[in-house]
Amino acid sequence: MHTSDRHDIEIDLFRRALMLRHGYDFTGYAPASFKRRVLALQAAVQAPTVSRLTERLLHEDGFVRTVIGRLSVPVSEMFRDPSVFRALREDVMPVLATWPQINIWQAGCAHGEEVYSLAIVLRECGLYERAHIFATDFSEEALARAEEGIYPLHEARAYSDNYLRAGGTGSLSDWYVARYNRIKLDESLRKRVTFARHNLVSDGVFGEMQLIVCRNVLIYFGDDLQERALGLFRDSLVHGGFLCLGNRESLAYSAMADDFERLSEETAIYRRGIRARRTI
Amino acid sequence: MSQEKPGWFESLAVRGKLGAVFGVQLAVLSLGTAAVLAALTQMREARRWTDHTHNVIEQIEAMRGEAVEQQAGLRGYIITSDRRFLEPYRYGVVEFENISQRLGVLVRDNPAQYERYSRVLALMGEWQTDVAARDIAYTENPATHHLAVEATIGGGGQRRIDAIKRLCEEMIREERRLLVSRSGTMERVESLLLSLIVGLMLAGWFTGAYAVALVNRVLGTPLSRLADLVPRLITGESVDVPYLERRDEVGTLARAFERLRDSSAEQRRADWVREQAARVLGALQHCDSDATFSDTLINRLCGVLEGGYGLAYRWNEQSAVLEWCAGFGLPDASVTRRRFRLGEGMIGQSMVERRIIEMMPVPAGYLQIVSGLGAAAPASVLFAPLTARGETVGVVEIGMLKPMTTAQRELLEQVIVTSALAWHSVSRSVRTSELLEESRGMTDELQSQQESLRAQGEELRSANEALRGRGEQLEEQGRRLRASEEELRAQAEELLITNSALEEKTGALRMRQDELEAARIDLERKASDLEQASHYKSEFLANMSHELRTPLNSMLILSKMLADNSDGNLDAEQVESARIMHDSGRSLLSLINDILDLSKVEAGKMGVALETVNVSTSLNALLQRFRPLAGERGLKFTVRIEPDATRELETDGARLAQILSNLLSNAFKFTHEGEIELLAEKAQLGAVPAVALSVRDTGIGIPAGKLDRVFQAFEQADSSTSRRYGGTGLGLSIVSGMTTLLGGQVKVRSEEGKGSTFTIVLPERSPQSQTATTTAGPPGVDTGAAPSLIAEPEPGEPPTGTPALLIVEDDRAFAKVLADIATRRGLDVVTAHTGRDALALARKRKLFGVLLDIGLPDISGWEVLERLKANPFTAGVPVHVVSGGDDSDRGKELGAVGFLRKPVDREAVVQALERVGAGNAPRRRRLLLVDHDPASRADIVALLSAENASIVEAGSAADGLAHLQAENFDGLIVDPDLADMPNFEFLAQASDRATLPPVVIYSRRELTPDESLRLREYTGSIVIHGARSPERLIDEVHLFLHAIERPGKPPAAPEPRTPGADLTGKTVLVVDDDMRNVFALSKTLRMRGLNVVMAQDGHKALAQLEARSDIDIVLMDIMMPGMDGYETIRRIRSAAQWQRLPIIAVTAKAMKGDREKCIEAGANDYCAKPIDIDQLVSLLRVWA
Ligand SMILES: C[S@@+](CC[C@H](N)C(=O)[O-])C[C@H]1O[C@@H](n2cnc3c(N)ncnc32)[C@H](O)[C@@H]1O
Repeated sequence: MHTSDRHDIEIDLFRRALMLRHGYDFTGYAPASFKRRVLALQAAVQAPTVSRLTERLLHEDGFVRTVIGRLSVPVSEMFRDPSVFRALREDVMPVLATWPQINIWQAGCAHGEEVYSLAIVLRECGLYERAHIFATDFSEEALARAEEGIYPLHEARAYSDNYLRAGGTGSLSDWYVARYNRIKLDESLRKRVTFARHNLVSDGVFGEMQLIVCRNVLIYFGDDLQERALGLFRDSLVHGGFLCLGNRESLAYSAMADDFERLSEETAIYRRGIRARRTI
Repeated sequence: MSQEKPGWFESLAVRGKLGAVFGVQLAVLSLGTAAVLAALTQMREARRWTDHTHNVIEQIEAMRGEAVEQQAGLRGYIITSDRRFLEPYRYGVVEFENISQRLGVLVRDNPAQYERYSRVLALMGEWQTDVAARDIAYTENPATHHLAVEATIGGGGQRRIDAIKRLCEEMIREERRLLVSRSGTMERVESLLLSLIVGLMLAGWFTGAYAVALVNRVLGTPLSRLADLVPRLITGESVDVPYLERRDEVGTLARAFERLRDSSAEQRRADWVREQAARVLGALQHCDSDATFSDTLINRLCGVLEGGYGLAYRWNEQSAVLEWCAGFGLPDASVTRRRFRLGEGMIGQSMVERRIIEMMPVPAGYLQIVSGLGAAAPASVLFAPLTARGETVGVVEIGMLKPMTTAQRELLEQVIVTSALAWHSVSRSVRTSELLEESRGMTDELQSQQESLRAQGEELRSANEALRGRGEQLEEQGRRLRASEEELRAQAEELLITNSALEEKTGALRMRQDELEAARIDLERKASDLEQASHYKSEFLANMSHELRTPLNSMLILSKMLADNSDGNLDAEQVESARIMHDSGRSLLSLINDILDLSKVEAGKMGVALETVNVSTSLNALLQRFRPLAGERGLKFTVRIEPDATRELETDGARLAQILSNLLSNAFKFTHEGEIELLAEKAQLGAVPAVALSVRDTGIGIPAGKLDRVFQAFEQADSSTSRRYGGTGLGLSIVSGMTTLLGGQVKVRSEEGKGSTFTIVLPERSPQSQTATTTAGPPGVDTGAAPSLIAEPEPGEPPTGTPALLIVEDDRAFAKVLADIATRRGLDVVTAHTGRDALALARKRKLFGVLLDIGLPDISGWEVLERLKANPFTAGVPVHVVSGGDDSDRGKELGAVGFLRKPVDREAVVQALERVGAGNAPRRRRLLLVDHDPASRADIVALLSAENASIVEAGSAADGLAHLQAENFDGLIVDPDLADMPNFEFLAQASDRATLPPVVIYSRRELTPDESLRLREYTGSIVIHGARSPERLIDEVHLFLHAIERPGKPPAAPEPRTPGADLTGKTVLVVDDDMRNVFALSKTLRMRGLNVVMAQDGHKALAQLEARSDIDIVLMDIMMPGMDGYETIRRIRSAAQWQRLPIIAVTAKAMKGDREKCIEAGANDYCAKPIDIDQLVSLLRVWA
C-alpha cells in the first residue's frame, strides 16, 4: 500500500474522530489544505503518525483545543489590506450610520486583529457606541488570544502603516500601549465586542447583522461549505447590509450571487439586495 | 609617635636605627672607660711618686743613719782606740756609698733635692777625708791620740755631720711636702675616677633605657600593630594600614600590607563583580523573549546596584528610536517618555557616547523613589548603554539611592556589555522564531490561497472547456444549417411551383379556419364566463358566510346566555326556546362554516401548510375526542394502526384532522349500534408510497345507486336523512375537496344496512405543487377516478403583488444583464431560469411584461409562451421573445409582441422593454409622510420624486392620524419625534386604529437601544439621518413600494391554530437581542394565546424577572452581547426563587458541546435556531 494512501485513510479516520468525538466537521474543507494542516499538526505535536493524533484526540480531554488551534490558520494583521478598511471607513460606515443599532459579525476572527481594527474604525467614525461586534471563531485558542488583544511590538510598525493607508485619522499608537516588546490594545475597544465560539460548518444564524466581515476563511472551505457559510451570511444580513470577504474570495461562483451587489471591483465588499431580488 | 611627620629617625632603616642607638651607647661607654683608664694611670703615677718619695725618704733616712753610724763608729774607735770600733765605720762608709748611689738615682729628677744630695755627699766626703782620716791617723799613733781625742771632744767633725743631718732633714721635709702634694693629686684622681664610674653607669643605663624605648616605639609597636592587622587582612576586612608614609622597613611592611589589603579587596571586588555578573547573566539566560529579557535585566540590575528604580529602553532599528520596554520600581504612569531618538535626552545621549553617564546630583523635581512608607530623591541617576560589538541594543536608566561604588560601576560595565550581547542574540532568536512562525503561517495561508486559486482556476478551466464545447457545437450547427439552407432553397423552388396550386385551396381553408376560430373564441369566452361565474359564486359564498358569521356570533352568545338563565327570570318554556335558538344557531354556524370551507376549497382559496404529522398522535387525539361520544351512544370505538403504516406524514395536520373528524362525525351520526373503527394502513398512490386512513362503521350504509353522489354538495343518501340525522350534507364534499387538496383520494365502500367504509389515501409526502392545484376534482369513487378534464393546471388564485417584469433566461449571466437594465429603469424584476419556474412565477406574481428566452433547459420557450397565453391571468401580459434562433414568425403567431435575436445590445433590450410596456408598468403608489418640519418634508419629497409614488404630507401626528383614517396608503414615512405626540405615540395610536401599511422611520437623531426596540414593534426599517441616509431612505421606500419580501420581516405568520388550552394565559419571557427573532416569536406565541414579555439582553431579562412575578417560562438566546445566555441562565439559577423556573435555551450553535453547555448552565432544554415553531410549542407545553 502506498504511504499516501495510508495517509489518506489515517486523515480520514482523524477527521471522523474529530467529528464523532468533538463535533468538529471538516468534511467540507478543501481536502488538500486540510491534509496539509493535519500533517503540520502532526509535526507540531511530534506525533509519529496521524493515527497517534487520532488516539490522543479520542482519549485526551484538552487535546482538541490544540488540534483546532493548529488546524486553523490564524494569520492576520491589523488593517490587513488597507484598501478594504479604507473602503469600510469611507463607503460602508456612513451607511451603517443610518441604522439605529449596528450589529457586526466578524466571522473567523483569528487573533482579533481585524476585530480591533474594526473597533478603531468605528470609534473614529463615532459609531462605536451604537455598534455590537460579534467576533467568532471556531478555535477557542484563537478566541482566547483575540480577547487579550496583545500583539508583538515589531508588528506595530506594519500595523501603523496599514492604519494610515486605511485612512486612519489619528495614530495607531493612540490605541495601544507598548510594554516590553508587546503592544496591548486599549481595553475600551473591547467594550462592545462579544467573543464567542461559532463554527461556520455547523452553527446557525444568531442575529441580524448590518455588516459581516469574513475574510480569508472561505478559502479553506470546499464549495458546498462555502455555500453554506454564504447562506448564513445572507440570512443574517439585513436588507442593504454589507458582506466583506477576503480579496481572494468572491461571490461570483455562488448561488447567492444574485442576492448581493458588489460595491466596487477593487474590494470584495458586497451589499445585500439593495435594488432588487431577482430570484424568488 | 608622629604618623604624620616622620622624624629623620623614623625614616632611618631599622639597621641604622639600631646602629645609632647602640653606637651612641658604645661611644658613651668607651669614652667613660677611656676617662677611667686615664684616671687610673694618673693614680698609678701618683702612687709611684708617693712610693718614690717614701723610697727617697727611706734612703735619706738610711743615709743619715749611716752617716751617724760612721761618726758613732769613729768616735768609739777614737775613744777606745779599739780597732773593733772602726769596723762600723768602715761598713758605714760602704753602706753610705750604696745608699747614696741609690738615692742619687732617685732624686736625680728633682734638681733641688739633687743639689741637697750632692751637698750631703760633698759634706760626707769632706768629713771622711778631713776629719775621719786625720783622727784615725791621730788615734793610731798613741801620740797623737790625744790630739784625735781633743779634736773629737772639741767637735771638729761635728759641724759637718750636723750639716749632713740638717740637709737630710731638709731633704726629708722636701720629700714629705712632695708626698703630701702627691697624695692630694692621687686623691683627686681617685674621686674623679669615682664620679667617672658613676657617670658612666648612669649614662649606660640611660642610653640603654632610651634605646629600648626607642626601639620599642619605632619598631615594636608598629610591628605588633601591623601584626594585629594580619588576621583582619586575612578575613578581607577593609582596614586602614598605618605607617604607610614611613620609609623604613615598617613603612615597607605597611605598604606591603596595604598592597596586600588592596589586592585582596581588589580580589574580593573582582570576585563580587564576577559573581554578580554571572548571576545577572545567569538569570538572563533563561529569558527567551525581549519582554522577559528586558524585565529580568532591569530587575537584576536594580537588585545588584541597589537602584531605587530602573528603566530599560530598547533600540528599535526600524524606527531608529529607543523605546521603553521595561521598568523596575516605578509606578506605571511615571514613565513620561517612552521613546527617545539618538542623542535625545540623557538616554539618547548615553547611547551616542556609548559610555555610562552618572548624573549627580540629581536635579530637584526628578522622579522620587517611592516605597510604601515614603519617597526619596535618588542620589544619582545612571544611564548605561547596552553596547556590544559596537552596536547598541538599548539603554538602561537606574536611579541610585547611593552614589555608585567602583565595584558597582565595574559590574555595570561588565554586565552591560555581556547583556547587550545576550539581548542581541535573544531578540535575534525571538525574531527568527517569530519570523519562522509567521512565515509558516503565511506559507499556510499562501498555500490555501494558492489552492483556492487553483480551485478557481480549475473552475475557470472547466467553464472555458464548456464554452469551447458549446462554440464547437454552434459551429457544427451552423455548418449543418448552411447545408440544409441549400437544401431548403431547392425545396422552396419546388414548393413555389406547388404553391400556386395550394393557394387556391388555402383560401377555402382559411375561411373554415376563421369560422372555427370564431367558434373557439366564443367557446372560450363562454368557458371563462362560466369560470368567472363559478368563481364569483364561490367568492360570494365565502364573503357571505363570513358576513353571516359575525351577526351569528352575537346571536349565539346571547341565546346561550338566555338559555343558561343565569338571572333565573325565564320560565322553562322560554329557556327551552332559547336553547332551541342556540342549537339552531349552532347548526347554522356549522352549516356556514362548512359552506365557507367548501367554497374556499372550490375557489381555490384554501391554503395548505405542510408539516410533519405523527400519525399515531393525530389518530389518538381523535380517539380522545370521540371517545365520550362513543360512550354516550353505546358504540365501540377503536383506533388501529397497522405496523407497516408510515409513522409520519408530511401533510397539513389541521386539514387532516378536519377530514377525519368529518368522517367520524358522519359515522357516529349514522351508526346506532355496533362499532366504529379508525384504521391506518400502508397504501400506494400510483407509484407514490401512501397511507390509507379508513373510517369503518356498522351504520345504515348507503344504497348502491347513491354511492357516486355522496361526495357532491348538499347530497345525503336520502333527503329525509337530513331531517332525521341533521347535518348540512356538506361534510363529505369538504372531505373530498380537502383530500384532493392534500394530493390524496377518497374512496367509499358501503352496503346498505351493513355499514360504510370511507377511506382517504394520502401520499406520505404531500406534493408541494398540489397547493396550487386546489380545485376539487371529482372524488374517485370505487368505480375509479374520473379523468381530469383539464390537462393544464387551473390558474387558481390570481397572481398578486405589484406588476413585475419576468425575465426567463437560462444563462444566468445574461439574465443578470437584462435584470440590471430593467432595474436601473426602476422596474421590478423577477427572474426564472427554467420554463417551469417561469410558469410557477407567473401564477403567483402579477406581471406587466415578459422577456422570454426560447432555449430553456426543461420545456421550450414556445411552450411557456403558449401556456402563458392560455392562462387567463397572464394572457394579456405582453411577451417579448429573446432568442438565439430566428423564428420571429412563430413568435408572432403565438402572440409575442416582439422578437429579439441574440446577441443583443442595450438599445435593443431597452426597446424590448418599451414594447412590453415598461413605460406604463406599475401604478402610482400613495405614501404618507408625517414630519413636522416642512423643510425636511420637502427634502424627502424631492428625494422620492424619482419613485413612482404620490406623497401626502402631514405636518403633525394628529394630521397624520386623520389622513390614515380617511385614506388608504401603501406606505408611511414617519419622523419618530413628533411634537404633538412624543414618545412614538403616533405609531401606537395609528396601529391601534388600523392595520399599518409598511412603515419607514426616518429619525433625525440617534436612537437609544430601548427606543429602537420599541420602534421595532412597528417596523424593521429605521433610518437615522446622516450623509448616506437619503440613499437608504430611498432603498427602504423602494423596498415596500415594490413589495419585495424583506429579510427583516417576520416570517409569514402561520395560520392560527386552536391554542393548546394549557398554554393560553401563560407568560413567556423572550430574551434575545435579535430583533427579527423577538418579533416573529412574540407574534406567533401571542397567537397561541401566550403573553410575551421581551428583554433585549441578560441584564434586562433579570430586571424583568425581578419586576414581575407572573413569568412562567423563559426563552433564552445564548449568543448575546454583554452578558451571554449561559451567564444569564447561571445568574437566574443562582437566585433561590428561580430555581425551578423553566428556561429553554435558544441557540444557533449546533455542536454537541454547545448544547451540553446550555444544560450545564442550568437550562431545562434547548431549541435550535432557526426556531421550529412546532418544536418550540411542544417544548413550551412540556415545560410551561
Ligand atoms: C486566516 S484566518 C482569517 C483571519 C482574518 N479574518 C483575516 O482575514 O486576516 C482564518 C480563521 O478562520 C477560522 N476558521 C476556520 N474554519 C472555521 C469554521 N468552520 N468556523 C469558524 N471559524 C473558522 C480559523 O480558526 C482562523 O482563525
